Amino acid sequence: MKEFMTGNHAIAHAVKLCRTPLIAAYPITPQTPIYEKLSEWEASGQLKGIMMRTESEHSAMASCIAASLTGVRTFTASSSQGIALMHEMLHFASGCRVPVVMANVNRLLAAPWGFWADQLDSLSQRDTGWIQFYCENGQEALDSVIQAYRIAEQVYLPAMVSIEAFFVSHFMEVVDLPEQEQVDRFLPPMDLPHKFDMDKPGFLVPVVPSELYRKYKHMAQVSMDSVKGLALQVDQEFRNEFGRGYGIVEPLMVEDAEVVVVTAGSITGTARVAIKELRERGYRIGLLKVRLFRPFPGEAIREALRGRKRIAVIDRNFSLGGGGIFCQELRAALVHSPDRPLVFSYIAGIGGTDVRPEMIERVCLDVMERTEPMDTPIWIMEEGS
Amino acid sequence: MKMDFRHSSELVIPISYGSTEVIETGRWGFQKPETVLMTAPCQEACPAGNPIPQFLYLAAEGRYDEALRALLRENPFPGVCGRVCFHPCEARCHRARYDESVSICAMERYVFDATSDRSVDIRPHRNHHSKQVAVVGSGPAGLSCAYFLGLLGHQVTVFEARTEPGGVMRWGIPEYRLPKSVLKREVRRIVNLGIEIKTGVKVGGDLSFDQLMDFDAVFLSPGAGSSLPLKIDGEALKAVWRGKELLERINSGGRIRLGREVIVIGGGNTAMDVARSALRLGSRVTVAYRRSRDEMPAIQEEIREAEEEGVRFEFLIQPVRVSLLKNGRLAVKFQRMKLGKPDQSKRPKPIPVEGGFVKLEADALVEAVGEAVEWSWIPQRLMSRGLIDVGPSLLTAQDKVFAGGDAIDQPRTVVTAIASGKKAAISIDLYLRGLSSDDFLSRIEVGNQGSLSMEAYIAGIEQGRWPEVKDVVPYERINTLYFEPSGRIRERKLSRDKAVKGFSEVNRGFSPNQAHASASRCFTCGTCNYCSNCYFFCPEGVISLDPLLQSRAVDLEHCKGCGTCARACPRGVVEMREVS
Amino acid sequence: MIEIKFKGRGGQGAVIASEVLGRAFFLEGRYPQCFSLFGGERRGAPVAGFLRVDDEPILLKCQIKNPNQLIIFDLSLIDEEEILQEVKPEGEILINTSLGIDSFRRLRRFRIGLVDAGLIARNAGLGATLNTAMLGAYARLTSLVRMETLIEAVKAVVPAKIEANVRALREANEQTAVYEREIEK
Repeated sequence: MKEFMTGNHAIAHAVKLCRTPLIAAYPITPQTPIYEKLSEWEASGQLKGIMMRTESEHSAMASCIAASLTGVRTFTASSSQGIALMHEMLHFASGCRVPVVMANVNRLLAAPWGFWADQLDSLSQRDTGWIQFYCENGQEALDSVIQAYRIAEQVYLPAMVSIEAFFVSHFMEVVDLPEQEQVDRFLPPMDLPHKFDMDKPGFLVPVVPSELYRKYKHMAQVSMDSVKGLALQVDQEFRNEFGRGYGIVEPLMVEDAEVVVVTAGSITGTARVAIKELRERGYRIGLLKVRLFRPFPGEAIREALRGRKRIAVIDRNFSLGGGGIFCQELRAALVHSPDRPLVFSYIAGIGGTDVRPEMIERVCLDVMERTEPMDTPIWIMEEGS
Repeated sequence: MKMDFRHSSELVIPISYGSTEVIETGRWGFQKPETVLMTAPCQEACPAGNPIPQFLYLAAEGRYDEALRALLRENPFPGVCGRVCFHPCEARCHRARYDESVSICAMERYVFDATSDRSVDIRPHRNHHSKQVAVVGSGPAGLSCAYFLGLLGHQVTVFEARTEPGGVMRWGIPEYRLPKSVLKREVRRIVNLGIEIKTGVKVGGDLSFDQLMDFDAVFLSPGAGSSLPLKIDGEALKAVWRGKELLERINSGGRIRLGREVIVIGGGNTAMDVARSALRLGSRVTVAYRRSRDEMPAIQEEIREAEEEGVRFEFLIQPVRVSLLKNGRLAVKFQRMKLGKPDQSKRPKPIPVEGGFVKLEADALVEAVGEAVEWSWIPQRLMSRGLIDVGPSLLTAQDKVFAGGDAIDQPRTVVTAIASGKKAAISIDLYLRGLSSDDFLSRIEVGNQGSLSMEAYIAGIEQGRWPEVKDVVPYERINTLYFEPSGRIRERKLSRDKAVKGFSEVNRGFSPNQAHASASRCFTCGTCNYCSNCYFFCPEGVISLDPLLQSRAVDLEHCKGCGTCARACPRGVVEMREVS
Repeated sequence: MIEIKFKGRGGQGAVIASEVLGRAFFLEGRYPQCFSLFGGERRGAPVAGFLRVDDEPILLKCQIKNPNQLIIFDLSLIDEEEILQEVKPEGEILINTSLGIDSFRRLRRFRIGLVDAGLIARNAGLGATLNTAMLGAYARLTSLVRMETLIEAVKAVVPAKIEANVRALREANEQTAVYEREIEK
């Protein structure tokens, strides 16, 4: 059934459709509408679960971990400073191998203060052992939450679904709401082998010797690596059930492209428009959308970019002293590529600044001119600034 | 590749099925919490040493039977005290400094009213030293002494000259303040302990003082039953009454007609009882007192209730002569008085105003200016200035004879009489065991004002477990942040119109909801009420509480000594002490 | 694709108007995309609502810089210089005003609708909330949405005072004066 709603509300719908029994969260702009919508449904009885109103994001995550270990599906939503505060618990979640699913609304990190879109908050958490998806719009966010549960509950790792503040969280668009029966068919009840057993009491997170720590980290790595294949498989099953799918990366018109623009999140949508326009004007430009960021789908990216010579990665994030984070990851993934493409890092949309199709066109035309590799990122500002 | 971990959870994450209990984290700390039970100020102020925080805690929990049992360990008359006590406890209540004091007296009454004695399980302790003790007089002092001696396992015989036991509780205090049924229940409980009460036996008549010496010990508590005369002209007139005698007549069910207007002389509780009884007999009543209102020795509430019921007061006048008028009424001539310097009683001495006289007319005059001990049967060497002379242990000048109540030099209230009965019982028990009271009374004190704990005495003398003497909780030790301000709850009362129509009890006590709210206001200073604050705040989970068994324990092997529990305790029960 | 900008002050209902119109387009089977300037929602402060609509899903995820249609709720927010730069040539402008067309001579290169929405809203008992009146006028100016659909959308988005809102909608639809663009000489 089609509905007209914001990205935040699309995520709330996903949580309801997944019959999540426990939601622990703390409100923060721009994520609060998710929290409010779920609260509203809890009050009206439409949500078959409970909202734990915790005193902080740190506690919200701690609650999700503990609840998950009792064997129930859990959800939280956060953003920016909230996810930064949560950081310690994010490690606990992956270390405890709990399939918590979190929606993160990408918002810049202070200081200075602001509420605007920037992916640094979740990308700063890339080493916490969470599966990470970046979504283009509300529809994809809704679908990704459902997929995230399927994947997370199979590999016992937590998963994060990110959308950008305002451009997705607050944009109202047409969203196709899946039927409850479809979701029930797609998502079986959760089963956690290491859940707490009342008859066999024990405790998790004991002190372990070095070798044992290494063993479990290595096992987690094996599980995490399996996500690349599993996510594709789950996405295919999702396509079979719901008629939509996304892949873990999405190449668009790359086969003959002289330049491939790589994007993640909402800029992808705008880039689609820009590239179509450039193609009409005769430029051979392609687009690669990276949807799965952790685990980083290096093989899929190498495959998609085979034979390409020039790549422009547009990042709405910036690692001070490094550069665009997607670009860093992509360069590392392409290091074994026989094509040795030139990969340029463009920084655009930082702090929620507008990324318009013309800006992406400028990036493409700029890349066409370049023949020498360049390490430093190129900041794209508005005309005249 | 699909991972399958379903065979064993160990393949996903390490789980320890052992216990961390073996790690004695308690050794890391350099201080440990100690449960430091302390005496509440109310308890110290109660002459009978009532366990006020304990009984209020139990009442707040709705455990009224247990609350009654707690009270009965220290006081055989909760039903009486809950009605007639002047409750010095409430003046010392810490809650009074926070908002308003807890209605302790009314709660004592409620506990009595809400229970029956069927659940009371008081049995005498087995006592290998069991002896025969005689008690003379069955007022609050005599019956308390008998009760506690009975608890301690002695054989007690009470001699009572009147037809029924109770003394002032039976014959002095009017029915509208203390219904006879209440007293009956209290006395029955005492008799059930195996106490023999011989009524209608007058020592000095039916039984000689010397015959008492056949007992192993004797407690004299004859009370102060005879009203003092004013020693003025016209006192012998038929319409002039003595307060005590009048009250006794009323309490005997006699039909009395005082006439339309009655003057009551005096400012004490007897005067108030007389005045309010006279109102109920249909008279208009004026109380004449030689000092001013501030100096009246009666309980403030009694004065206020008398005023509310319509008793008029004339202050600073003293009768000098009563004469009979032709119409049969009385003419009373009063001397006007003024207040002078404080006298022996530390109150301003009333001095006559020269030439100042007032004349009032009335149909009857009641003198209620004080009572004296009727001591014709007591050897004179035991007496001093009209009272029985006693030492600190209440021993008289004669070996094995002890005394208490209104017949000795102490405030004449029911609760002080009970206190002296308790003290005498302990002194007698020690005497019968051949022990010196000097060595023991100080070990069972409740606070520093002379109240004693029978529970502490029994634990010490029977089991050798003499408890540590507890300090009184200072207000600063109460963590008032944990309490919400709330107003004192007042008892329900009969309306004035209904009250003065007869002798029905005026005070109707608390409703169950009022009682719960009222008991819940208690800070339970110095007493753990299992509020669970320490339990919830303890980051180590090493505190265990059992409200039913009233136990509070800390697993010291795993307590790191953070001190959170001491900070979180609302009532100052937990103290951190350095580990030596 | 049409891009619409709503300019008003907090409390006048400009943002709600964008949502109602978005829903109306949705109900008519089109693909709207609706958003407001984030973070500025305060009573009395200038606010802006935005709406894109197309016959297929909208891919753009950026702000509207050059709307085809500009809807001005508050006369004090008119900046002719800005409008001339901002609104696409051949654009349309709807203004809530009691003034006549002569007051907007510099804007005659656009198609203009004038409506006294303030008066209409007050008369309908809606106080200073102009959104439904402005939408009634919008339907008249642009003919892009049917009145019945607008009424249905109002019912879904603005649950209070439905009758009054519908009255304002109709009233404004009838009272809007439309002025075709004047070709510059």
